[in-house]
Amino acid sequence: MNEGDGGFAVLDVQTGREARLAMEGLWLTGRLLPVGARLLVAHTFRSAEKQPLEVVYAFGLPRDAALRRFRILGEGFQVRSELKPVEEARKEYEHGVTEGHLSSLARVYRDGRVNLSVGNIRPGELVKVFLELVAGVDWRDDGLRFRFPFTLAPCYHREARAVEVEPGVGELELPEEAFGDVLLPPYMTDPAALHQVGFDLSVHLGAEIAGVSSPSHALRFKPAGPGAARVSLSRERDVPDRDLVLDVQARQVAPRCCGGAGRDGRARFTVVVPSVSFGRPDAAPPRSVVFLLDRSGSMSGTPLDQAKKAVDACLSVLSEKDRIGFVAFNQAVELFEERLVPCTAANRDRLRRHLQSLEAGGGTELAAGIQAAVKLAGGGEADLFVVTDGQVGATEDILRVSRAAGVRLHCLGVGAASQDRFLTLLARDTGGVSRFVTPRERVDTAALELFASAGRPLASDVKVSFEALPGGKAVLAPSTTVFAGHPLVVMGEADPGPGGALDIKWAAGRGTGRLQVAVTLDGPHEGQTVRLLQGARLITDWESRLTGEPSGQPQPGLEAREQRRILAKLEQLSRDYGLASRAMALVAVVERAGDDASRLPTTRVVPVGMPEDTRFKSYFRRSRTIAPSQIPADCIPYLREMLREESARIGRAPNVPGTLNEPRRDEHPLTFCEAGPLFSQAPATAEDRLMEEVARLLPDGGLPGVSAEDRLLRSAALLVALLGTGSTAQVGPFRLHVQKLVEFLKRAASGAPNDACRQLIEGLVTRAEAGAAGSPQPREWIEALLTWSRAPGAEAWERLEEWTEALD
Amino acid sequence: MATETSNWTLAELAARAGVPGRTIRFYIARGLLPGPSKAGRGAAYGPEHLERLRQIRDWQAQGLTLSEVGQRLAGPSRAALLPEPAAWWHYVVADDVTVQVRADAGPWRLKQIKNYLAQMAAGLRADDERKEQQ
Repeated sequence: MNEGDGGFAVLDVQTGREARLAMEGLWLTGRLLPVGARLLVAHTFRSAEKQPLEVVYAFGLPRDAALRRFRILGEGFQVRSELKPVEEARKEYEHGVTEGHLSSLARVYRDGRVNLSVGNIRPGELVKVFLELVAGVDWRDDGLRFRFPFTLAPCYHREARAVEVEPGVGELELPEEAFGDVLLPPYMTDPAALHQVGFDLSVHLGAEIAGVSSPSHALRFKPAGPGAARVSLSRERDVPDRDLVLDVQARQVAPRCCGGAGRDGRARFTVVVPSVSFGRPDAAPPRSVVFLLDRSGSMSGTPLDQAKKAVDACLSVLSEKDRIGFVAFNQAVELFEERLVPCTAANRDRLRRHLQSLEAGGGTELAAGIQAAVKLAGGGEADLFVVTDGQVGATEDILRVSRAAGVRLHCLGVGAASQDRFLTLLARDTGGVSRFVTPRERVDTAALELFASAGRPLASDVKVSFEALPGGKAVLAPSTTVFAGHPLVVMGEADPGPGGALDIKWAAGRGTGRLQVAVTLDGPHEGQTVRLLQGARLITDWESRLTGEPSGQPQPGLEAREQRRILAKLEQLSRDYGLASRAMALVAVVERAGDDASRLPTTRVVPVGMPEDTRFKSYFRRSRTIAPSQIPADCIPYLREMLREESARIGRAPNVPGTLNEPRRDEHPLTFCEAGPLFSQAPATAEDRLMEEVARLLPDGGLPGVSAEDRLLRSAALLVALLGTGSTAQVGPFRLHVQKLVEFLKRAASGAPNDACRQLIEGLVTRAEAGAAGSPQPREWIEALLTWSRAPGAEAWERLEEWTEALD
Repeated sequence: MATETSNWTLAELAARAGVPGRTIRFYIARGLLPGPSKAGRGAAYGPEHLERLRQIRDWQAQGLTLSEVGQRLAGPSRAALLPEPAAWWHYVVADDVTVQVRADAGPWRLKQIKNYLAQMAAGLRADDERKEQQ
């Protein structure tokens, strides 16, 4: 292969086999606590080339994460990194490289992208870099969800340049003025020949663990005493083509606290209060909802199909008093209607047809989509629901637009490598909530779940007081709103000692609530970890406000001052907490015996796999300037003529002249292919059937039918089916539908043909309201119930009674 | 000024071009920029490096990726190295046989191929004629 052609030189073009791997493996280890994760990532670099190497590994930070330090280990040396202002660290690294020393630099860029550069790895040398970082988690009432990026998804940006450099290998370059000198990895469709990844984590929940599962990787789970466990990859190795996602569930839903004395003489704590502590939601007032759907090329296939179904199912829980809007976006924005419309049956039908016509393709101009949705919402108390994979660049600009809009954004992230860090910030900064799903989970039920939680805050005007905690105060202002399924998190500090309690007050509907939560500060190791996690969270929040690239083009006056202020704040936070940020980087230089300054290292960028659910062709197009374009167009007729004469001498048939590959010309630097099915269509499950059925609910809450009795029967049968899948008026993704059905059945029960029938309906209503779902029923049972033909009459009522009894 | 121009270090070149050192090394590794006459402390970079860096920046501003910049710099002679075929001539040897030949094959090679094609065409024609006679 051509030595100079690729900056990575990993695959041999002829054989397609791995040639030389600059980074051999990545191993993740560390501790998962109820309030966050403390991680150690081991990178193994080896030079199998004849010249010294400079290897660059690019990765994305998890949510609320920051780099702490690294240790670099080789034959006969071990050195720790130092935290220095970015420019100073960069100069030190450059100087080290020039002098022939082993040099390493970990620097954070925009969107939480990191470049770990290791320069002057000698031929045959093995170098290990152990990188320490702290990362936040996605809190749930009953535990947490942890996500770690093993791959870096390509991202959309107007000015990004993307190209397929050879079959199955894509390169993406971001404009330096906006993104600095960050290097992105080559993306490989076939990850088989890439570095190996693996993990082995210990989980300390501080409460009995019900289970640890993963929708992304096969796990080996080993209990390690009460409230602790070890989880590791059950296979020997894996490939970097998707993020690691772990779900940790506690047996009991209760407030969790982590805290202890930190090194600065103060105690730090983080308390997670489950949302159920704030009671149950009241009936919802009429509201305005705008759905914002990402239909870019990277959403093609199952994600978009399921997202459409989810929007449809969400609409069915709204009443005619509610107003709806719908915006679909890729590089363009498309509105269903120019204004919000009442959620009538007719409008829903029109929107459903509109949804069906949507296809995936194109870029991701999320900021334009948000602006259009905000304009549509018209400044009223509207909720915005965004479904996107968030694979965009310059997210700080989008965050700025969204914060200024003053509208609550709820986000559902979709994909194997959706930008979790960004979508979390987007929801949090606008007062909304977020969730993400991986390709092996259902988008539609997750969307319904989010919709059900987000529409009705459980508690508002939440106030936390620290009077019962000596020296207690908040490190970060806690959220003032609590949504179902999303715990309240309080991060604070206090005097060292036994601890105390937090006093939490809030408003719910017309009443108020009050709760005391104990704060224990006895964890000797936890104090320092909690402190670091709080620092990482603060740094992430400030970094999300840094829009420009400090080393890029200077920005105009006021803007520049603001950016300088943020950088100064970040530098201060970095120094206080000992964590890297956009202002400070980690650097280490090792002087080895026999370092040779006369050889320039060859720079290689470590490739990663395309996220398993992202279509390669939705980002990378064939090169525009392949050699045939260099044959001048006016030569072609002449060449054809020549050929005709040539071949006349060879064969007897008239000759077909050669066809020349026309170079493709593109207006946009990124072009996108028409979407095709990425996943094979899965057979419809009971959940698919339920999703379709609930989408048919009329604005009065019942299913359509030929008569009042028919409607009553059909609606009751649907309620039985929902109870049989575990949904009641309080729990499950279909809880809003259950509530609507219950309201309808209460009103319509008087139309039952006799007392026995009325009692049957009333029994069902009571059961749904009491939250008694009944024993979960097999899939076939649901399907049989939904396909049951319910011609009104005594026989139908008897059948309904049989189904209902099966719930017991 | 003129006397020192041909002997910059990497850091000096980086400062003059406004391109970070690591990026310059990355370009050299990709073959977009010639290496220094000497590496390390006594590294020598000159105006030709500066000019090339400006050229790369211009092309990037036009939307070219680095791999495309590399192809443009390499010129037509590199065409044969690319996996993408330049063009194919389509020879109809008989009614039911066509042969495709890469248009950028060398003259000597092309001559050989054509010889074989002529033989093949003659052979097939002779076969057909024999069948017609029978």
